[in-house]
Amino acid sequence: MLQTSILVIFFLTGTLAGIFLSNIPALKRKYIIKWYAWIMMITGIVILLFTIAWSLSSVVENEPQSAGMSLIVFGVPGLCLLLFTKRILIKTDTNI
Amino acid sequence: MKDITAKIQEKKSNHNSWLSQGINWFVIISLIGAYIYGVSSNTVHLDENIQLIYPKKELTRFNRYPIIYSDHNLVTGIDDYIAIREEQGWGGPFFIATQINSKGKILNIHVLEHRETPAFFLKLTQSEFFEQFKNMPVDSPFGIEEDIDGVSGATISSKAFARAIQNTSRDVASLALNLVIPSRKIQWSINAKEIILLTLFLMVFIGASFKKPNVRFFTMALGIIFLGFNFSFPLSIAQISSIFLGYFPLFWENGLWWILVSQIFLMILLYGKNLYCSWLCPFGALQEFLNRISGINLKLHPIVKQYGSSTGKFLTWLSLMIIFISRNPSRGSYEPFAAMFSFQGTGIIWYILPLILLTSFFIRRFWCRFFCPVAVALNIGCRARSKILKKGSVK
Repeated sequence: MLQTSILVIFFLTGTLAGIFLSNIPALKRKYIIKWYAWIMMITGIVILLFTIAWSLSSVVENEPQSAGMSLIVFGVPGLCLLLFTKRILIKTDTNI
Repeated sequence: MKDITAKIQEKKSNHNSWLSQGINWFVIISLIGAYIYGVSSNTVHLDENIQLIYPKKELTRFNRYPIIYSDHNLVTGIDDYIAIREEQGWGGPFFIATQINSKGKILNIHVLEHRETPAFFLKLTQSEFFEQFKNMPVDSPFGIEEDIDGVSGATISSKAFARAIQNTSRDVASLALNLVIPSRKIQWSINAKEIILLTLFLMVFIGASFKKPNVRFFTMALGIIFLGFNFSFPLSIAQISSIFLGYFPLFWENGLWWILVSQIFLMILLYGKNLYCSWLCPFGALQEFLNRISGINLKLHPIVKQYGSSTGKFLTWLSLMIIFISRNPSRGSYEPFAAMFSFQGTGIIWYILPLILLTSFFIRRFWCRFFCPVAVALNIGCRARSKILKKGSVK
């Protein structure tokens, strides 16, 4: 059960990372993103992937407090970082 | 045609008015019924409880009040004593039994019944708070930070239990052991926590009176820092219901409670508005700040908007029913405040809390609008105040 769960968690996080990476060219075409915005966005995505992995593995190990705390301590700041980056630093490319 | 439509509309609104009146009466009658049931069914059977804890002892009632049992050892001819006291803790009254030997040393402590929040009581037992009282003489001060270590994050509970053990020890010392122990004066002084809380409320009063909405940003931020993380003292349905149950804490032990409750009552009386939720509540403020960071405000379906608040009212009614029947505020309290600000919680709360916070990014004040019992209770208070003033002005 544990082995299967670990495989599922890695598959899920890998899939999400792959979706993000594959959409980078589309993001570059549609938006004007400065280098520091890229760093913030990638940091936010990495934090969210880490959060998903931690919380799912905590659920598998029957530790609800660890799962909840990881969503709050890592997930909320990660989401804040992404949304802040989107709102403030990413502009739509009007030349499209 | 227009007359028929108007008549149908009028019938519908009359029907809705009757329905809502019917629901209101049902809620009031059911809560009164639950209260009466709780009072009549929650009797403490001390003799049976004590015999269960000490099955091998033949206890006789040594003193009627304060309650002291004695256990006479036929071989040694020496008596042990068990004193029982009812004291006021964080969540309500509790019963404690202190076992003392004839030499005036504490042998054992048993908590017979309590109403503390389960996560906080677990903290006390896991940190072996009660173990430190063993072998202490009955004339010890039993003061937190004197000869007793309190448990961080459960200070009020620690003080209440220490006070109860002190009182039971004094009872046995004076009535059974014929010792004279001078009584300790109650020491109370206003400290930083009370001053900060009073300052916060003053800011709210000033901001509301002089219509300065910018002040609200500061009171919300300070509410998160102090009322939330520092004091871990947001208003909850447990505190509101404890007023109806008659569980009032000692002023010198829990001054924050008295300040919080009295100031919120004053706010409702003076302004007729729920200023606590919009200006001070740390959980509400946290949700609002998260929503502002995202800048996203999803449009809700009209049915959700219309009936969503009924969910909060239903949950509040259910919570109060459980509290009144069990006479235990912690049993009906379902807010995730302790999990958020003290990182104390059990089971499903750890899934509900992150769900609420993540949803707050996309729906403004999600918990407050659809689930919070404090908002329901305070809004009812505001409506009651408006009705009373309206009736008074009509007369």
